[in-house]
Amino acid sequence: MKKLNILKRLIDVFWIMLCILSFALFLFTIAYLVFGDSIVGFLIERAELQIGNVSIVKVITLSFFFLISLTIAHVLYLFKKALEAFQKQNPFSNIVVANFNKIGKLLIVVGIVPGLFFFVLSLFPISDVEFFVEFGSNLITICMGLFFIVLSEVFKVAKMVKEENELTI
Amino acid sequence: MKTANRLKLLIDVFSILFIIILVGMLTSNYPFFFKAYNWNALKHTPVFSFTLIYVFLILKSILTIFGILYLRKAIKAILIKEYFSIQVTKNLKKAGHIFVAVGAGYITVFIVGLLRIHNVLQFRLEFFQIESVVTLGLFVVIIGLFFILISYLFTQARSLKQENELTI
Repeated sequence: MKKLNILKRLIDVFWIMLCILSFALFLFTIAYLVFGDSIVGFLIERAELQIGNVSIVKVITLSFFFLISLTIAHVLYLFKKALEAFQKQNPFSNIVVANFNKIGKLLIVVGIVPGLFFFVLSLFPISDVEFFVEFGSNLITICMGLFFIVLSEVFKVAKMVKEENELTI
Repeated sequence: MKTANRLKLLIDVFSILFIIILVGMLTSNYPFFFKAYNWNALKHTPVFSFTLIYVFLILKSILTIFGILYLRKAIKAILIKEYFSIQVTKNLKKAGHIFVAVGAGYITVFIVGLLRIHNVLQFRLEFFQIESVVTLGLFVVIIGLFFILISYLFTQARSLKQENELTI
């Protein structure tokens, strides 16, 4: 299927980009710990966060971004594996069902946790963090998570139908 | 299916949100899109680019609403346990094609529009504008392709199920 190949390539590109981003974030966090404020000013501005001078808050925020990007990279990796199973003409397999279920749960976490994180951070008097949540994109992420969980259940049914079919033959 | 119910609820919320956005776009005399992006330079934008982006945004919203409604229909069929019915595969395929068109159109129209603005007004075109447009567009294309793929796989599952029922 031509569209499957296009999809797989696009996911590969996104996955590589995210891996590079995660690595860069890791380097930035380390660089901040070593060199201080000037090196991460650009990154903080890009994330549209207004963070005060409390260093520990910056380190926590950077580490949090790193963790989130790692989680999304893992989601893409699981999706890649599922697409590989599709390419091998084995769409209704355990690996696809398990991966879709994991992807769904991780996406729900990614949709909920950043909002909670910034909310909790803004509660602390030592931090100067503005409460900033993109409601739309979080909702889309949660929606996609639920969609993947539903897909996982439907694929489980399809897998059972396939197994029954093979037994009958 | 509890998860499918929750998903349907969220999809309903999304369709209502998109309809509100569309009504807002059609009724506002100054497109709030430009306010949202804070591109004040666009007040003096050449008519072609302005019209191109504005008309596309309205078209995109209408198509997205249709895409979401098709997805809603598919989820409704899944809720009544008709997982591999024609209704599911047909609606997923339609939603997929719509999302691919919206994503590809988004990339093309915005880049053409932005480049024109850049040329005519010497508007400073930042790398991040193009990067975010391309990323978002590709993301929508990926979702569309995935729906088409799922529709194809569900069609396979349907024929397996039919074979199974025939054998029994």
